[in-house]
Amino acid sequence: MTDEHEHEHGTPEIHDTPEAQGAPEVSEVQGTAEVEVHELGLEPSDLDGHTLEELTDYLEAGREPADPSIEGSPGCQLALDALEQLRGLGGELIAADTAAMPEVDDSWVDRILSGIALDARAGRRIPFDDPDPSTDFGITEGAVRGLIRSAENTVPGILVGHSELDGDVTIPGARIRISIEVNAFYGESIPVAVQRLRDEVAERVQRHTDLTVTAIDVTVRDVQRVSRSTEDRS
Amino acid sequence: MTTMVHDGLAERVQAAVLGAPGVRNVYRAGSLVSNLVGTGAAALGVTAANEPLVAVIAGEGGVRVESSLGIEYTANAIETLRAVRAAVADLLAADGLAVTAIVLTVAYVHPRESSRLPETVALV
Repeated sequence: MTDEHEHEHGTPEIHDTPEAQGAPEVSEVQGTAEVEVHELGLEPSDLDGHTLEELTDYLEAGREPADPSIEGSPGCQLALDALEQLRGLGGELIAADTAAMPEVDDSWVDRILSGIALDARAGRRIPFDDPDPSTDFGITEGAVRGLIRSAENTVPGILVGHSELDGDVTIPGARIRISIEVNAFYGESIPVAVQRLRDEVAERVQRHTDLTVTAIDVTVRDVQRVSRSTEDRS
Repeated sequence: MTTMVHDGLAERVQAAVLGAPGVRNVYRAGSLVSNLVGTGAAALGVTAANEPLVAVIAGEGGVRVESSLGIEYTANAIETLRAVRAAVADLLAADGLAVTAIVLTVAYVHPRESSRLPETVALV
């Protein structure tokens, strides 16, 4: 089910085939010299009028002075959570990359940033089933994607890039599949990390929605070589 | 029939929402609910300078409340929403107002790692 080969020098060849996924994804080591925000072609409306660049600057300023338009936007809050996690890894990634990877390839950073912005959109409204006819309870798809992304906080070796809810979530109790693209850190067991991520995502989604999750597909897009201290984050 | 509402009702409803266990903040009721507002309804207590984020709308037969919420991870979403409904219903009942609809949407769940409630808190 899982096949992992590590080469002492050069690119590790890692295939991760989650049980709910048909074909293995081949991951490759890529490097980056710095974590910075690039133009992604995203509309400001994705983040209630703000851009990832603005949110990054806001984070770097310690979220001071408080900006009500950012703090009052759930989309911005979701993006800030993800950017904060990514920023926390930046130093380690820079150091590791400088030591081991002379060539700069920031495509994986772009993918993560793009995923952050996409995930922050409110998306569809996911209803709860409630017997009171005067009640209309729901949770946004963006909030659920935020739950999925936050699962990475408890899974060393995994950074979530993007997630999707496949199914008609507008029906209470709908059966859905969750697809998650992740980056893995070299040195951690990918099957173990992926399983932990699945367990964590399932618990978080079950706690806060009525959705019936039939499968959680995890695709490892990249493997990053970073120091142990980063991998042991919690 | 037109429902009579009290001054500052939207502010008090918002306070009730924020006082429900598991709710950390409210967000502006935006596009998700704005289309649900009927043309004959009147938004109450909305001013440019001090605009409540909870929409309280008078209509035929009673009051409609709409709110977008940020909740604690440790508070189960549906239990939190029911706690909000109970708090709002109690407040409106005390004012002699009937509830025609309560539309609540969780827009953000604060990460478990920064939740302000312990895991064992019982709601409702």
